[in-house]
Amino acid sequence: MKPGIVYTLSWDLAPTAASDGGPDRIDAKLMVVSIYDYGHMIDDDANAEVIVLTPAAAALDVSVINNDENKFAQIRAKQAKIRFISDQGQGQDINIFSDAYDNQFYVVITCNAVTMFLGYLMLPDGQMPFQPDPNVVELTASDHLPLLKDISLVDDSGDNILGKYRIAELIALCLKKTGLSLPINVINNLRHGGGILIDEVDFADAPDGDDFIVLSTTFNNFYAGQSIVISGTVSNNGTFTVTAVTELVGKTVIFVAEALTTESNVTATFSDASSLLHLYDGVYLDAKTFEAEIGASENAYSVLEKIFGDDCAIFQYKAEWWIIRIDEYDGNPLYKAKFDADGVLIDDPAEIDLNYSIGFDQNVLFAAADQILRFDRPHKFVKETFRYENPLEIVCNVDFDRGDVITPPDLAAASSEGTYNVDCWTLHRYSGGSPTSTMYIRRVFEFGYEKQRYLVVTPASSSSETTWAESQPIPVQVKDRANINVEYSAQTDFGSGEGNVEYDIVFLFIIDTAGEYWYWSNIDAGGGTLSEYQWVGPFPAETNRPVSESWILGDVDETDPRTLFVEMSAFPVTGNLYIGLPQFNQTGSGFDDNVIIQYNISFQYSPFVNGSYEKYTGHTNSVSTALAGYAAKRENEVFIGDAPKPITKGAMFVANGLGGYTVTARFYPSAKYAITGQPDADQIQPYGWHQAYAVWNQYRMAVRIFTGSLQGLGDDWPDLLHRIILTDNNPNTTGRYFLLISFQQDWRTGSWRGTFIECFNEDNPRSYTDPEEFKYLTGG
Amino acid sequence: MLVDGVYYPIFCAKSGELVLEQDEIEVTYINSGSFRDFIPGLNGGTFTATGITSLDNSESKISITYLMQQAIRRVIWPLRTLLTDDDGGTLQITYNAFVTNTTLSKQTGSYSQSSVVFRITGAIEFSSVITPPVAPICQVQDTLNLTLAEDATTIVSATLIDPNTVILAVFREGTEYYQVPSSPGNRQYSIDITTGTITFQSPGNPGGEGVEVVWQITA
Repeated sequence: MKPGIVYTLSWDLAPTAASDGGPDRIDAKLMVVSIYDYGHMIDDDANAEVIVLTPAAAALDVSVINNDENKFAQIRAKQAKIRFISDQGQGQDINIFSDAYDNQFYVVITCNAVTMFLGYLMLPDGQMPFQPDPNVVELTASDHLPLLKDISLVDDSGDNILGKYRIAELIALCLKKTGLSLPINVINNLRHGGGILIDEVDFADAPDGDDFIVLSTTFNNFYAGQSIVISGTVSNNGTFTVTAVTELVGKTVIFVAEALTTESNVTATFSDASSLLHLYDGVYLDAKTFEAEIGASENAYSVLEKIFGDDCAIFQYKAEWWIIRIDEYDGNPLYKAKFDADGVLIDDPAEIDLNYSIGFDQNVLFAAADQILRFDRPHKFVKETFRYENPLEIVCNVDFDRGDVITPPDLAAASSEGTYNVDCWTLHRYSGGSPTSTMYIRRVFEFGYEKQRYLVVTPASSSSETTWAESQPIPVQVKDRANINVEYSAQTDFGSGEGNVEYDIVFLFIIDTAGEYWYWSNIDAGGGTLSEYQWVGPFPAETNRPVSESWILGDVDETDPRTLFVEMSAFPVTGNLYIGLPQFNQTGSGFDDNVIIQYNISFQYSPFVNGSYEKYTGHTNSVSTALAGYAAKRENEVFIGDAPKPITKGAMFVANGLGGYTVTARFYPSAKYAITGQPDADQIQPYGWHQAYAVWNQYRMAVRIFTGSLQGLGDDWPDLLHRIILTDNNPNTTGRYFLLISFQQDWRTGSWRGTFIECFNEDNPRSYTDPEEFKYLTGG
Repeated sequence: MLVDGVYYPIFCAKSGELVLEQDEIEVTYINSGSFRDFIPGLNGGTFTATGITSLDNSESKISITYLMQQAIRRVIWPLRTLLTDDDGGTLQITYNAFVTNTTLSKQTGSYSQSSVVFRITGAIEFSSVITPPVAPICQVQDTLNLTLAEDATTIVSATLIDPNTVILAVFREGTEYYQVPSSPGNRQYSIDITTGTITFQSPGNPGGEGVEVVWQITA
């Protein structure tokens, strides 16, 4: 099916004369605006009705507004104002575009058959004088980036996002909400890891099993958890996992998990596996970074703002999305990668020439003699703040308030119950096999108001079936702590029962990064009883090690709630913590065969950061000048960064090759090294370092800003993605690159207004010598 | 004005004025110095005609009353301006235009006057391309001022070396000399175009003599 009605208007864009008496710099170009009506669909093989509208004198204005002149404004929406002459006798007026749904009218604008704009009409912004014919009807089309503020981020099925996503996937999910499925070009070549390093090293096969490599000097390329590929050696080529990195007498020493063969004075090449992937392809974010409330995410506009931070900007150009990183608009070549509309990488980074010259002797030149040169003053410091926030739910569905209905309650009744499936929790049977228990959420209502809610676990068909309701994994790190409060009760009294019975109340276990199991237990690895509960492990596989509590039966009412509080000591390993709430057919006696148990839990998590629990609320990366006389400052909050814990919102991850994820370590700007070259050690730094210096290099010196009128538009027009060179020779233009950050273009006369802001000066290139400070925040 | 396939004159016109205007776009930039720079922008134009008022079109001339009618005023019409020179050569300039102003006026004792202004829309076209000018042949060149040295009978000017050079007149100290093919006598000269040499019978006076040569290139 396709739109059955197309409204078109076309005209010739005025040519741009030469300033030196030569032939026109830009010839006249045919402009065509086509508006497709998706409210009238026809078969693909049918002919659409084409209605030709008469363009007005100012037939088309395209604009990008950036009132703050903010070089780091993340989202730069384009808007097209289309004007035609009404003919109410032919039914050609604003009414043909009224009474429409949001994405009914799809707008395609071409210049000399080059698509220059795709978008949708915005009905509230259309207008026409309320006068007799002829009138100028004005329509407004938008690329719909601003509309993302009204759309929550969900996946393609309309469900809330959950789990880890590649950055490219998240961006694509957001952009698809505009209604435009366009490829995504990216000029952002930060790469995770240490890149490639060639060095003369010694390999050591240590007797204690902790084999290591000694490098020639100190390097920043290595970190714990890194996967490195070694080549160029005789006996030690292959893929290795770094377990620890240390420094000894001015040399970096790397410990690896795999065995090494002693080999000395070897020129080896080390390649970080994570550096092979584009930033947006190899780095992941957890969906909870963007949670607005439990079970719902923020709007897509906010998600994009957070992803791009104080670093990148997005806009549409020639029917494709473009994401540019401001810091890369320096004296080095630009490299562009390309993703499809779903966020799949389709082109690796390749060099691209985006230089565009504007000047008296160029196709585009300043006009109207109204150019203003201004300056943005040098700053004293810039500061990026990253706050440590945990998700609203560390244990997914900890309150058991989410799940599809099984049996609905009768809310009109004085008392009723409803049962529901349990989101985020799964039934797990120890040692495999299908569970014979069931679980569900029970909600008790009185006169339509909820009075009680708890998780229900029904007994298994046999007491030998150790079965529990298992939470989703909770990422934790070594030395973190947590406590859990388990409230439980039986649905019915046990009956006569027998004496004092030890029941399994909760399972608490960690699966570490090596896949081994650790249990909070009072039974040691050999089966002996410990004096107190502690972390026991590692076990190579799942083991039955619950937290138990005595329940004196017979003389108590088992329907009365009981509470078990467990305060776990510091986690012994990094991995994923699980909570298991077991079924209660646990003895050979028959009295508990039909016990249905009800649970409520609460969970408290205390991360261990910089030697302290719950003391730090965030950190800042700041860069400042030591010179006196500067007062301007720039402080911004960023939401993606070097999180101390995997559970922290905004943490970035790379795949660890074992089906899991590791928090990111360091990054380097691969564009400086032609993508695949060896990075300088001082450029391999945490993400926050790069972000802070990227901003500092734009604010540490006076920045030139030009605003004024220009003449010259065609099918190769200057836009937000270009690295602008102003060729009118002057100390304020020579040797500098500029970015166009806002404009208003008249696509009838070829005249336009724009604001250019300096982004690079070859006499004062990028510098990393001003002091950078990382500082933890305490308190609010 | 083209009506039903036939061009009719507008009015019994006394005057007509075709005005073409070119927008100017200022492009003065930082290095323009003390002069402004401009480039041409969009074009526009008007055609104005004035003449004697007639009541209708019955004299095969467009009347002001015809042009005043709403159905005529709100339509874009093909117009033609026909230029005829004294040699009978013609040039047509065609364009589309619509009426923006009609005026009727009368003074006591004279005929009523009509005036109409058309706004040209779109491009104007010429019946034939007006080519750039060609430098005219047989153009008289600037007079050469030479000096006949004392006791010399010849003067040489490389400027005259051209097979198409024709000497129109030679004056020696204000006295005209006349050209002969060779062996010049009194108040005569001969010229060798191949060397640019002018030969006289009598030598130059002490201190030299001024010689003016009026000449042209014939092709």
